[in-house]
Amino acid sequence: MSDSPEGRASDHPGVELVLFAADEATPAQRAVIREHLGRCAECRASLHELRDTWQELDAQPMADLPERQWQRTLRAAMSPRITPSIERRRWSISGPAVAGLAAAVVLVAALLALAAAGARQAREVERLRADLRDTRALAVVAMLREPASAERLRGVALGGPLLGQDPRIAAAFVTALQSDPSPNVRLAVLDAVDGAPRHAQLATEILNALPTEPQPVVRLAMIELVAELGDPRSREALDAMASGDPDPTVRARARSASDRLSVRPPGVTQ
Amino acid sequence: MSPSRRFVTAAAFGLAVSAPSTVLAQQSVVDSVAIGTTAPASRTVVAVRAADVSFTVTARAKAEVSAVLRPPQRRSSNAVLAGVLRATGMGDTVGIELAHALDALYHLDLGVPSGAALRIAGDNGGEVRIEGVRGSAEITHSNGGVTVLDASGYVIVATSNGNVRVRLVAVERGLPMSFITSNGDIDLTMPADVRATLVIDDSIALRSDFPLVSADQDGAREPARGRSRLRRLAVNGGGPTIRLFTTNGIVRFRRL
Repeated sequence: MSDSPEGRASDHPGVELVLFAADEATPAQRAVIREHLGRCAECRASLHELRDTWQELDAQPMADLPERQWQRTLRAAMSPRITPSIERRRWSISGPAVAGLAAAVVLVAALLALAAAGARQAREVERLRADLRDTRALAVVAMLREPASAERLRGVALGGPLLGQDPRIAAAFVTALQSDPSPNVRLAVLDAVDGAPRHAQLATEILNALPTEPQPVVRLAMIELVAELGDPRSREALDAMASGDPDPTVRARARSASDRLSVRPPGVTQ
Repeated sequence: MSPSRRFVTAAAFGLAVSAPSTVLAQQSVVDSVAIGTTAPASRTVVAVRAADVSFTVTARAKAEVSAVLRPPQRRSSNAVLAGVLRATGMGDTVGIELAHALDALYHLDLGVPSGAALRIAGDNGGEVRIEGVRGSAEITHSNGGVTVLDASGYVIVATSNGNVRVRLVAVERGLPMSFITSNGDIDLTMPADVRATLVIDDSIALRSDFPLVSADQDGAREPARGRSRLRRLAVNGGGPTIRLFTTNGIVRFRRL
């Protein structure tokens, strides 16, 4: 690895650099990459470009989808048909996150090549960035299907910043909220929703999932979130939980949340 | 028995109407699991995932995964309860579950290969106890505490109405962990050199042996609305997230 343009491409960190830019690298990977960055101007430039791209992606808000489009996206996320599209990208089953981001490396490399050649044509650059976002979204969807909860938690962390921007990620998060076997993952999804821009369909889906959530600690988090999201329909669901939930802590929290909704001034709902 | 496939006897698995006793692993044990529950109607599943394992439910199994159910008071006699455990295998995953509910205290001696991934789903009561797991352990339980001692790798725990106590002697780098309960304390012990970022609601009391540095980024979309604000606290410079959540208890974060 060197600053020399003759350096072999395989000498440079590829996937690891993307993980590093996305704050997803392991400490060991970070140490190796930091050491490499100290002596490789090419990778420093790549990292700079990657981070710029990440920030631009994060900064683009997604308007609420029309209901029909949201439902279509949700169905697609729950359908096994999405799997072949992931497999077409040759993602390894054991490491979809890494393999998926490897595809992003290729795209970013193409992006950088365009810039370096002075051929940054806005339309092409925009297309490549869309491809990068697409790849990241598919990586998140794939990670959320991993058998290990730790990998799914990583998927939530990776997808959280894009939750308000990509309906596939939102749909995958809803699917996780409804059916992920780990309460830890479901709670992480709620954290991500709480930190994301308000999204009407997500609020509805959380409300729908509330009565069937088996773990009291996750129900408590859901109650606080739906109350804060301010959907007037939440009151009925909260009142039902306040009187019928088997857990006394949940009942008390539901009543408190319902009361808060009652005193919320008009126009606060989003 | 080849060295690479050291067979394991294990600790205890209890289905109980009273607080379960815990039987520690023998010297030869590589991994051990102890589970207890007080609910007669509970259903407990232990899923073991490892490469190239076969499965048997006999006391003298020579496979890499074994499970034996026995009343603890008769452990010395090596009595075995037959016909209660049900085993399924698919690929590299072995599932073990109760075929029907039990009405008294039993232990499950479970042997797994070193490095296997354990997923344990208990339900409705009793202590779940795991010792010496090397690999990963994911425990989802309810109405009972969870204790994981001297584990290596990563651990994920969710329960309700019970304390969570976890002591990790080595941490698998790069993987997030999560420990949640309602109506219970969380007591987490980690190696002194662990690098992590704690994520915890600011309404939860946290006592830490480690110096903690806020890792909240300016402009980060932390939940300013909702139940409470999530704090991100770096340990030894930060690393993978460790989510800690309890609705009625405190969190202790100890240095090993």
